[in-house]
Amino acid sequence: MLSRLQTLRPSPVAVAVASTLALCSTSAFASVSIVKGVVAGAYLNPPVFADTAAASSGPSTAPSVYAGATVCFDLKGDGACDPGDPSTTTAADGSFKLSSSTLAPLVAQINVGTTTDNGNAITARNVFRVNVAQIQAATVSPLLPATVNITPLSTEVALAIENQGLTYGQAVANLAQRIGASPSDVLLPPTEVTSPTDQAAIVKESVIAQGRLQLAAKFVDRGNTVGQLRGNFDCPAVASFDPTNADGCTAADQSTVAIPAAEQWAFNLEGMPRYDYVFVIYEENESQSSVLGNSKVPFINSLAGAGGLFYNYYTTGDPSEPNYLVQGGADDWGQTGDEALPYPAVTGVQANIWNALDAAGLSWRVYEGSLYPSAAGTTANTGASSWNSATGGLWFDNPSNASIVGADGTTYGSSLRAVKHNPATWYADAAAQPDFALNDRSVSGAYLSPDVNGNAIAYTYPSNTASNPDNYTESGNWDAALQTYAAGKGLTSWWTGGASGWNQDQFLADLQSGNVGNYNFIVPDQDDDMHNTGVEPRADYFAENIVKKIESSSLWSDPTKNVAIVITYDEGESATTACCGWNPERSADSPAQLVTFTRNGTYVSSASALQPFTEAFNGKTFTPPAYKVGNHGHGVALFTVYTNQEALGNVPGGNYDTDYYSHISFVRTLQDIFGLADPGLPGSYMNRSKYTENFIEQNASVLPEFAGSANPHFDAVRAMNHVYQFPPGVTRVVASGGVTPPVTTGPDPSQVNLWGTSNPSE
Amino acid sequence: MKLLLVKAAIVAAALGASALVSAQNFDFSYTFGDGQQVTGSFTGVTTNGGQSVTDIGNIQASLNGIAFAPVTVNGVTYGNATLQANAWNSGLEAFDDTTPVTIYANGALNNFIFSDVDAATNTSPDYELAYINDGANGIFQLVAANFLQSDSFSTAEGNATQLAIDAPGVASEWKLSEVSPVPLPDTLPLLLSGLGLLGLGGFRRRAA
Repeated sequence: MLSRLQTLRPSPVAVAVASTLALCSTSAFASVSIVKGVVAGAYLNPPVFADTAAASSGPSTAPSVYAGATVCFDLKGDGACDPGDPSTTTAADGSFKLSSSTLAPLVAQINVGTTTDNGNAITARNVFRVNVAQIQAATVSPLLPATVNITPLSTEVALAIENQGLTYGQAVANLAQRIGASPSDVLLPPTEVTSPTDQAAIVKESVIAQGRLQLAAKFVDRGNTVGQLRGNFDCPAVASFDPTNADGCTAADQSTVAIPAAEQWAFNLEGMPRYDYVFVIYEENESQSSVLGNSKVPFINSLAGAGGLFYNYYTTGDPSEPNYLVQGGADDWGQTGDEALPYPAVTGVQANIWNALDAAGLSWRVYEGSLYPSAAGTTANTGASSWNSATGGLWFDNPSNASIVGADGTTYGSSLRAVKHNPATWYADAAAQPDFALNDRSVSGAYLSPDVNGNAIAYTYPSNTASNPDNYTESGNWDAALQTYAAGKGLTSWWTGGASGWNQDQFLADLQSGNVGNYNFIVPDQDDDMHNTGVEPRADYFAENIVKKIESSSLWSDPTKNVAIVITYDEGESATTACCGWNPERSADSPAQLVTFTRNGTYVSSASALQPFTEAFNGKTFTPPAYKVGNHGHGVALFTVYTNQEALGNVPGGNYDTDYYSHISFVRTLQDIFGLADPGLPGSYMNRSKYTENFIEQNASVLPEFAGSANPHFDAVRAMNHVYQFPPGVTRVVASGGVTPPVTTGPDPSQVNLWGTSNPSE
Repeated sequence: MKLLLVKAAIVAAALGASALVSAQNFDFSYTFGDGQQVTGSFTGVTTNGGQSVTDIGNIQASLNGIAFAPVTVNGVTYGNATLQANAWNSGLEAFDDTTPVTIYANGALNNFIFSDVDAATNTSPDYELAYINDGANGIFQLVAANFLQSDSFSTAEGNATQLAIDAPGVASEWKLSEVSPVPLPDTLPLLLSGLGLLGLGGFRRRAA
């Protein structure tokens, strides 16, 4: 027979094999692992950002397979297909089959130039992995092929097994619960998932994870150090620039990482864990010292005590709008007033947090209180103080409307909702995105309104204050009146595209359905945010109302999800001390300081970019103010973060952090939390949030506003990760309006990251 | 002289055939979805009205024309020239020795493995053809692997060209046919002598 003939006369193949075998050990070559599967994920068609809706388009996603990917059994466990690793290449449908005599993790290398994603060229290398536990779980018999798909989600499972100590089953169950899909579906190629709900959840998660994992590959390829990845700006050492140089650069910080560790860092950028949901309640115009310990606002104080408190959180401008601009894009572009100016010249993925979230496949919402009911695509607010009708009135301050009468007999006034307090509106390309109107929604803090379970949210009015106890009930009256007005007009909600009736509390509905954004910026009306009232229980009740609603949701009680609630303020009042990206020593600024940096932090130009510019926007000419007259920062405000992991008892609450942070630091933190920037590439952080100590040092010659800095650590931006430890004897800067922290020199009693979670990595 | 030899061989072959009891020779093949093909033969006894075969022996198999055969490296031989058959036990979800191996012409009924080891005790063969159709556990797949004959020379592991997998399998791709009777051992020398004469005659004709 043929086989016998070949046994007697070995084929060239057999000879070649034998030659190779001679180089190997004498162990048996028998297979103990046969696998087949698909390398799959999702394809993200990126959004197009432009100043007009006509030129803009939103992102879209689709299930995808990777053809031409290298698949191997990773015998070294280094997350790479090395010589000697059994390997193959995926077919056009993403499929592969492979065997190994040694059970080992699987790796899929997505290669630039050879791999395609749904037929689209790969622009950045990526690596997906499978833990051996997944292979074992899929193995009926070692003699039969196990079906094992290599996907971004299989990589998340591997990371959870490696870093959280979970079993394979627990890791899969947690992932499924976190993203809201069936455990039986989460490790399938998204193309094979038949449930539309599961497929959508898996595709979204795949897009998010692919972005993170792509960063990990860059960390490895670039040789980034642990110090860079965990946000230690003293590493590499910059002692000449930063005299505090507290942490130094340890050997561990100088070490580089292979893919498995790099992927863990990619889900913990600068030490900031990934959050699934962040809710920010933005208050107005009060310094930290006027709020902290004030018995008129007991709830906000109790939250600050239960969660984490940042003692040196600096606001960035006065009046309001520059702060909101910073909150939206880590810069105020030199704006010093409430001018109601859009910023058409600042465009692109890294122009603002809204664009960056869209481009990463994440969602966002701005929930506004006392939102004036008006139809989508109309100019319902005719006469209001704005000039752009393209967004159906979303740009307008609400008009006064005498026909809307609250229970106390007053009529609806335009001062209730201020469009300047919407941090997305002023970024022209964010507002031009198709999802802008869908993301701008209503929120109610109505007195005794229900939580997601229908339970009324009561409030204990502080008895030791002299304020009118009825004050805090007015918001409820307004929301009821606005809802009645909308019903009478037959208005629909613009955030549903006009498909549903007007809902004055879409926030509650979104919590009930789980349809809140990954990032949610909650803007109370000006009666509820202390703007019109000062520090009064009414704002405290509104904050409690929102927090109780979140706490009653399934998102909050789910230990697989990371959820954070932030309460902070736009302005700190009572001070002009700058911090964290704003150097107060700017009197010598000449010319202005707007400079341009590439993504790797290289300075491009100054003089030409420093001048005011003029650009046509929606048919109108816009001239931003000269940057040289920009803000010099503002005072310290309360900033507290309270997480569901603290509430669930998985991490301790009640800690504080005395390092210097600002609105710009918060935007940098959000970029880490949502995976929007690359710690190994300083210039990838948006606008002034890239101004770390290292960045300033490297670009000091073109950043004259920092030339005179006496304390670069104070002036530089950093993530709110508590990495920095004050050296013994170094006294903290305490700004007017701030509260002297319990510790004024040396490290804090606990250097724990106030954003830390029990899910430190995937 | 040549004619005489041929006639003698025919006689000898006829005598051998008349002495057969029940063993028969079978050829099989399966073509995978990607075009790879496993072929081979075995001996056995037909049962079930000719629809199945038991008492499997003399197994030979090749994947893509390359035989499941030993390879010797530095004096060490890998792979066993004698292929064994084990049956799939759906209750255990494993191969075992307790159930006799039955191979069916109907590909939807097969549950067996051919390998160079006793698959009931050794799950590390050097080559294998596993054919599982386990409705109770939802498994219908075939895998043919020759781990000694890889074209991934850097690893000697099975890969795309010496690793064929169909999951699910395609029952209609399984071909099993009876080829010719097999003589019992006591008639074998006589049969071989006749076949040898036939072969010699044929060789001489081609040489001429």
